[in-house]
Amino acid sequence: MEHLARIPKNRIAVLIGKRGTTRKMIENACNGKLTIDSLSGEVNIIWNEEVGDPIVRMKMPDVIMSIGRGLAPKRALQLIEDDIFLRMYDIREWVGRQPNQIRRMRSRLIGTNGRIRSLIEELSGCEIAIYGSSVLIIGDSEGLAVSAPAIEGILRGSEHGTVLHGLEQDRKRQRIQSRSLESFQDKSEESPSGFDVLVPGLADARRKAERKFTNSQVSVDDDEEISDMLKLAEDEEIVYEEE
Amino acid sequence: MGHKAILHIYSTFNNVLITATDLTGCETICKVSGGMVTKGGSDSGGQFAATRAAERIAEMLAEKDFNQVIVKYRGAGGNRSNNAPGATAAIRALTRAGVQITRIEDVTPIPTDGTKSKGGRRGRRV
Repeated sequence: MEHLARIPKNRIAVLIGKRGTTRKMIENACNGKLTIDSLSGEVNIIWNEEVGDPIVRMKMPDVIMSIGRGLAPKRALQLIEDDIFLRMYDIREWVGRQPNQIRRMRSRLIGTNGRIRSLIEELSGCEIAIYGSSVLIIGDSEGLAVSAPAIEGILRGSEHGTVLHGLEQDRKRQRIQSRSLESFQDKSEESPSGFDVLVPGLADARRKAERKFTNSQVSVDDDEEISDMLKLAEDEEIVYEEE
Repeated sequence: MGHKAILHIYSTFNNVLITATDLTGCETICKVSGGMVTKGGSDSGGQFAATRAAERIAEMLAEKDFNQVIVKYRGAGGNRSNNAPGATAAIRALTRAGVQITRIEDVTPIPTDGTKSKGGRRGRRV
């Protein structure tokens, strides 16, 4: 029997689910048996095998705790995978314990009709849960590196426009990085022809022109590639207004 | 029959330090850091560095006839973040290398009432 976490009373029902379906799902995923004390909220686990997967054992407390902090069980189970991580923020550490302030921060993070939250989720590929005074982000390490500064910015008091602008720029920077990797690979395959040896700088100019051309060629079926191509250039910008 | 060792993994955003000691924890058997296995200084705290370091230490331990380990991992802790970014990758690499892990423990120092965090009243100014 191993202690996992302690969860609030009103989340026990979520952890167990209708007729124990959620609980069974978790037990199947981690190969153990959960015991839940419904008076104190303590959650323990008995492992089926003596020597199991050490990573799963390491991550199970996180899974149970994130369910207790308001993440949906299906989303929380993603955490068992190797490259999905959890990051947690407590709103009280940023704006103090006054209920009004906590409520204000929650609404700032979520935005009108969930606009800010869904934008951050979309741009970084992470999932965000806001419950009580805690904010959870789960995602891969790249996504966390993009979304964590955004969340911290909002908690610190930056305007929504600034934060969203920063998110866009992060996205742009990542795209440029992946592109430069491709061009680096292309370079090694080329072999100099007769004219290139005679005229200095000709090969470079040709390579530059080719790169510009390949970047503007996208497949018609891939929506993401098309939207990437239609992105604003460096000198254009969209101004977001605070509501 | 191999011996048993304790593997201390100290993983921060900037580096990963892996130290293998005997069961008392005071005699070091071998140690590897993220900076020893990567070239670039800035990516010595990443997952790739953690994997490489874990593989290296698994080799060293096998050479000295240790096949069982107790893993104790920690992040920066205190008033800094207490997640250990390289720990998962390192432990995964250890199991791949055939080291038997008997127990995993999180030993991140968690303050019961900590000190003021870095950055001052007006925050970090870049």
